[in-house]
Amino acid sequence: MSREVVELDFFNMEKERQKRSTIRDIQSVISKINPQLIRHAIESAGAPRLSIPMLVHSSRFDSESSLPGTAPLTMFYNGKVMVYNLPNDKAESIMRMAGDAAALKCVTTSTANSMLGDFCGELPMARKKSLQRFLAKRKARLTSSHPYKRELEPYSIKRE
Amino acid sequence: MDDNHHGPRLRRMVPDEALYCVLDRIDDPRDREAISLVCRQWHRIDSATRKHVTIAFCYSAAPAMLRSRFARLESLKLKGKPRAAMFNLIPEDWGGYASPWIAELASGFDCLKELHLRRMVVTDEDIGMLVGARGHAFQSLKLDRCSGFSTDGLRIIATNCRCLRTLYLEESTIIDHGGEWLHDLATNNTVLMHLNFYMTELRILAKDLELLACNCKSLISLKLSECDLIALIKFFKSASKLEEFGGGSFNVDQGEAGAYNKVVFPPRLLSLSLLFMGTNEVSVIYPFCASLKKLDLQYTFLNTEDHCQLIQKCPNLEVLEVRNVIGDRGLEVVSNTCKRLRHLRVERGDDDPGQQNEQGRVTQAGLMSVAVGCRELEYIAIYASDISNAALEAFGTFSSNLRDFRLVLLDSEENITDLPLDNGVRALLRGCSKLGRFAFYLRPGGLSDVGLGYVGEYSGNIRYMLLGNVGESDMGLMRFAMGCKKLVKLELRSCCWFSEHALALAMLQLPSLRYVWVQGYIASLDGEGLREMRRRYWNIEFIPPEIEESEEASEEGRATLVTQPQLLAYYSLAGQRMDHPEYVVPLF
Repeated sequence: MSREVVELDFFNMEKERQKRSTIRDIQSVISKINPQLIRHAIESAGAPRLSIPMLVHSSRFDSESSLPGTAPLTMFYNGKVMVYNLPNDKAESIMRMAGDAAALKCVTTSTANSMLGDFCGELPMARKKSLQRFLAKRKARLTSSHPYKRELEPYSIKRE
Repeated sequence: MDDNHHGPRLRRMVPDEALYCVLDRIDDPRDREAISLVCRQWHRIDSATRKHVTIAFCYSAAPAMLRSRFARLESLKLKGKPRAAMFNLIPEDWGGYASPWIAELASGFDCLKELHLRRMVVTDEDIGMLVGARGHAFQSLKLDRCSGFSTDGLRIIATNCRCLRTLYLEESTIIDHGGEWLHDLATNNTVLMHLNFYMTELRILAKDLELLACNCKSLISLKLSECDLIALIKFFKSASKLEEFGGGSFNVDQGEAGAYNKVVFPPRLLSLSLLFMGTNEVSVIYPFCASLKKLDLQYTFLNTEDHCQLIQKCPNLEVLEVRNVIGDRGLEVVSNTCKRLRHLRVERGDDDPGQQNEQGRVTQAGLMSVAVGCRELEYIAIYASDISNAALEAFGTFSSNLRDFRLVLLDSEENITDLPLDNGVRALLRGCSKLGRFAFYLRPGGLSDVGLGYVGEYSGNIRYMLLGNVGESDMGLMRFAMGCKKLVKLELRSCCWFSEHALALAMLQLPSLRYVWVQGYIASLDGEGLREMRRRYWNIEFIPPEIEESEEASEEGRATLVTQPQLLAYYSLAGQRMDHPEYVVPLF
């Protein structure tokens, strides 16, 4: 299954590749971006179906086609940009290694599966406190070996 | 518009007295906001006449600011901890302390008579200070999902606030030193109308309730902690005006049928929430369920068939809250019977298959029937096991009154019929133009980047959103952020493909955003990428992940995550907060 990688130049990074971007630069570029332009760019590039998320900076507006089972892997390091065509599993393992080497502080790009991205899958759906308490009480009643005695006295004793 | 620059003839075209009369009749907060921006005169008179203020997040302003602008305030609502606290995701010592606010309220608000604190930490000393200053005038006090106080504080309220019509303590964590507070309330108050200590663990004496019913003839609503209904028989006889009741419980020995047949409920009951009611006991409410407008079955032991039988007898229901044991079959009964239904909540039941019967799942079939049958729906919150685009489209077509839509897709089923939900969510948002609140919690693949873009594009007037497991990449988030023009509050969870950089950009892009909470994204260890959204008045609070290295884990090249990182960012006129615990890191 071939995949398309789309790169969009949100911040005119082509021009500024050697420079480190500042917050003000980013903000000023954002404020100048015509939303229609972005929308058009996204739509004309089609809907990319990437299983590995990538935030891309440097760009061309055209999409790159790839061999089946491979996708272009773009790496930004030390001021250089390198593009490789790799099989998917190799690309994934390289990105994982890059993420694990947490000493790399990449300002301009975030790596896809950083160490913490892996943990994200362990985010279970949280349950509401009130329901959690109710379900625990219900379980206690149903599994209790003693029949539950109805209290005829008014409730005044605090059970431990 | 500065009216001082006009000549004397144009100055004060509308005299103050006239403005006072007119503005006094305007209560809608958004109208008031617009009014206060017209000119200085209108701003001044709005400040003098506004009766109620809601501060949606207590750290967004300083208490002194409230007093300088609204010294004549009659009613205040303050909210503290993020909503996630209701799901055990926020530690107790995170913040949300009421003390600084109460100190201010106690020293100069001469008209204050109603206070509602939600998810805040309140101490007995705070209560003492508040009551000392304003107790004589208080008509309504709500400590809603609060913690930090005890029944001693309740005694202070009970003995000093003799004008109290409403005391609301639902789901608060209260230290129990005894039930005397209820006795104090019964002996000191004659005007109480609403008493609510539902979902607290407080122990009280039934005879104090009977005394309350005797002395407070206007009592129309009582929701209490667990109390056997048998003990309340006498109370029900005295409280003849009661319209709302919640918290009575059933405690049945095995095989003892008919034990609760002697319970006679008050004749005017319209709203009911009974705890632990089982199949054998439900007939107790049959005599009057035809007149019920509100029914809460979330904490009952009823199965799917019981729900069907019961709801069939309740054609006047406007509010229904259940667990998903109601099943599609039960929802079909709702659809056919409850034509006036405005509010429906279907909560998540037990995941353990042994505890639920097999019919206890809600899917697109049930949702579809509700959409088609209950055209008056304004609020719907559903935990569904399966979903389809068609079900969402049905809401878009039929539910034109919907103001609040919340869908959570449970993760118990392996396969979902119809994903992604791109087209369905688009149809829903386009059709339900009055939607102001929206929650969509799915699973990976539930909504593509295109679909997330639709959520942004068709968000209309939505001011609050909770999104979980939506989109596929940063691209989706960027598309989303280009829409959502009116979005004020955003909660994002479990979108493990969004980078810090994209999150920062998105927050900067959303024009109306004032508050965002995120858990589950590609977090760095120090939140560095989040610094990109630094701006004036914007507080960024990061809870870094805690990682524990264990021997076996490091063999596999892993570490254990002990705490998931969290991001909270919000506009504040009060600067950085100083009361945060160590694990909350403000980012400058």
